[in-house]
Order: sequence, then C-alpha cells, then structure tokens
Amino acid sequence: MPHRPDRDACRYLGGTLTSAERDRFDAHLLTCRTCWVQVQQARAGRAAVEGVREVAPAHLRERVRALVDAESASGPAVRRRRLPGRAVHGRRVPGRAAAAAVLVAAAVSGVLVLHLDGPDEASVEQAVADYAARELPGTQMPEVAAPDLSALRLQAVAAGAGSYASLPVDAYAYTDPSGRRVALYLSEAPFPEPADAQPLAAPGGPWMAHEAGAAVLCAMPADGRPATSILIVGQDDALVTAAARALGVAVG
Amino acid sequence: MADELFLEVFAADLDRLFNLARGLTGSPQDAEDLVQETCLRALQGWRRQRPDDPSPWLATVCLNTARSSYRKRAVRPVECEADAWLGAQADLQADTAQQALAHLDVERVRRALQQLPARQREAITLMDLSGFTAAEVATILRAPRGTVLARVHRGRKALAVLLRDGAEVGDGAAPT
Repeated sequence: MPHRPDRDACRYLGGTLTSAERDRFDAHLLTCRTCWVQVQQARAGRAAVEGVREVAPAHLRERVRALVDAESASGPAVRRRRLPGRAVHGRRVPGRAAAAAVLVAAAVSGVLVLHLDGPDEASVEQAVADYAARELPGTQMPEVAAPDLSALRLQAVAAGAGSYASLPVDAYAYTDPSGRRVALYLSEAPFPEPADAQPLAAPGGPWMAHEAGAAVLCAMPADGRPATSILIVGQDDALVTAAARALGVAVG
Repeated sequence: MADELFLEVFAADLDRLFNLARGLTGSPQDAEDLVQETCLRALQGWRRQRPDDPSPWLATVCLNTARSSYRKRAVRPVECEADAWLGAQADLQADTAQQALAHLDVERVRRALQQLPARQREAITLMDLSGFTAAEVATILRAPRGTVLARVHRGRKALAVLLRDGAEVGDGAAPT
C-alpha cells in the first residue's frame, strides 16, 4: 500500500483500521516522522476544540422555555416570531420580560386599543401591536435580504416571513443608534387601507394612519416604485416618511 | 403536552446545541439567537412529525438555520484554503505544537475555528464541540463517514497550525 501520511493518519485516528492495520501503523509511527506529525497535529487540534466546550447559559435556558410557552399559548395556527430580546440601547433582555414591559406601559398609558373597528383597522392595529411587542410575523427567514435603510442609520436586526392581514409578507425590524425602531412589511398584494387613513398624494397613492401612538405608512407599486407593496410602522410620522423616501416612495 | 415533550427534549440537548451554535457563529450573542431560532423552527417541525432520533435532528435544524442566516445576512465568515496554506507548513515540529497548544486561551481557539473552511468547521464543531459521533455527523451533514473523518482530520491539523503560529485573527478574516 502506498505511503500517504494524511490518509493513513486520518484512518488511524478515525478508527477505521483493522486491528492488524492499527498494529502496523503503531509500529510505523515510531519510525516515520511525517506520520507522527500528522497524528500529533490532529490530536492537538482536537484537544484545543474540546477544551472550549461550554455549558449553555442559564438565561438561554429560560428564554427557550419562554419561547416554547409563548408558541404554545398562541397555538400552531398563529405563528409569530419573537425578536431576540434587544432593548433600545442594545442591552439584551428576555423576550418575555420585554413583552411584559410593553403590556405594563400600555396599561399605564392606555394606548392599547382592544376594540376592533373592522378588518382593515384590525390589520393596522395588529401591525402596531406587533411593533410595540417587538414581534414580526412568521418563523421563517425571508428569501429577500432586508432593504437597505442605512442612509437613515437604520440597521436590520430581525426578519421574518409569514402572514399579515391574511397576506404573505416578508417583514423586517430596524433600529438606529439612538434606539428608534421601524418595522417594514413587504407584500406582492396590496395592504388593506383603514377608513381613517390619510392620503399622502393622489388617491390610490401612499397613505398614513395612526394607531396607539405609532405611525403607519403604506405605499403600493406605481411606475415600478416601490416594486412591492410596503407597510412601514414607526414611532412618528417623520421616521416612517423618511424610511418610505429611502425606499423610493414619493410621499409629497 | 406535545410542546412540553419538545421542551424536555430540547432542554436535554441545549448544551450540545449551544456549543454547536458557538462553533457556527462568531459571538455568544449570535449563538444564543441561533439557538432560539432553532428552537422555533424545530418546534414547528416537531408538531408536524416527531423525529425518531431527536439529537441529530435538532443539530440538523440548527445547522440549516445557521446556513440560512449566513446566506441571508451575507456575513458568512471569510474562508481560507487551509489545506493549501498548510502545504507550506510541512516542516512543522509536532512536539513544539503540543507545547504551544498547552496553554491556549479560549478566544484564540474560537477565532481559529472561525477561520477554517465551512465544511471543516461544521464537521469539527459537530464532533469535537458538540460530541456527536462520526456516524451521527455523517447523517447530519449527509456526507459519507469517510468524508466526514477527512474533513475533521484536516480541520484539526489546520487548527493546530493556526494556533501554534498565532496566525488566528479577529473577525473571521483570513490569515495573510
């Protein structure tokens, strides 16, 4: 058999040699420095990697439990993706705690709207509620990368593909260094327009609505821009308008 | 009830999955995000059909999630041709390597691991960090066992050389 140190050492360490082959290789190692180096290198590499094994942090165990609890509570028909617990200043907090904080804040300020006026209003409310709870629809990754909003210093921090207002959507969450947040929904189909939406241009063009202190801007494809229907949720008119402009929407 | 059983299975494998995620990502935070995303995806799959062998199945979900995330974010670590690079290291002194590796700090090892070609990194992470057998890794990677062993062997050697020479660098950049 030809002498091939790399292959022979691999078989030796991988335990694929027969007993007789192993004995012969053991004897060979005493006289062949090339094979000896091969074996020693591989053993050293293995030991180095095994030396950095870790125990999962306790807070991760808690987060996993909270995730499964939340998914169980929402049921298999409602598949929402909770964002990975990033607070506005970049500090990581458990998703459950973040959601609880949102609910407490909503209760104190009274901004959580519980009545539903109709399917279109309910859709806007859902988008705003998800924005407040730092959630995105779906549990899958979108096929399309997050649109670039870096001109506004907004960086994508999470994404999800799922269903919103019965429409398949790709959704993205952004934050900027000051903690401002934007949620962006993209869909091939038009988003439902609530009755109190305010047109930003000609009828049939972009519109804006407000819900629970948040601004919602929507634009449909026109002259190829935007290429898909977009829905932007943010904390104020200026932010969502700037985001829409950055995406090529003419908002007047 | 079904979700409780899933949680029990997932929790039992959490250390193994976390180590896998640590080897596949560049930071503890990314690893934690990957484990949580894996949990959500695995739960959806579990509800559709429970796997016969949960541990390799969870590792597969984690691996696919990591690959998908890297593809979408286009931040896959830079890969170097470790095999070619190793060709210039033929005169390595094995005893010197052993001594140099005796007192490595953890971050150096992790940085070096990120510099390996993706296939070698995945195979080593599954075997040496997560503790899967070669047969299990072959199933997870859908590769012949011999191929897995070859990737692991070459990756371990490349790692030893990177660490011996202090050639590992931060942020996943390739050695120059």
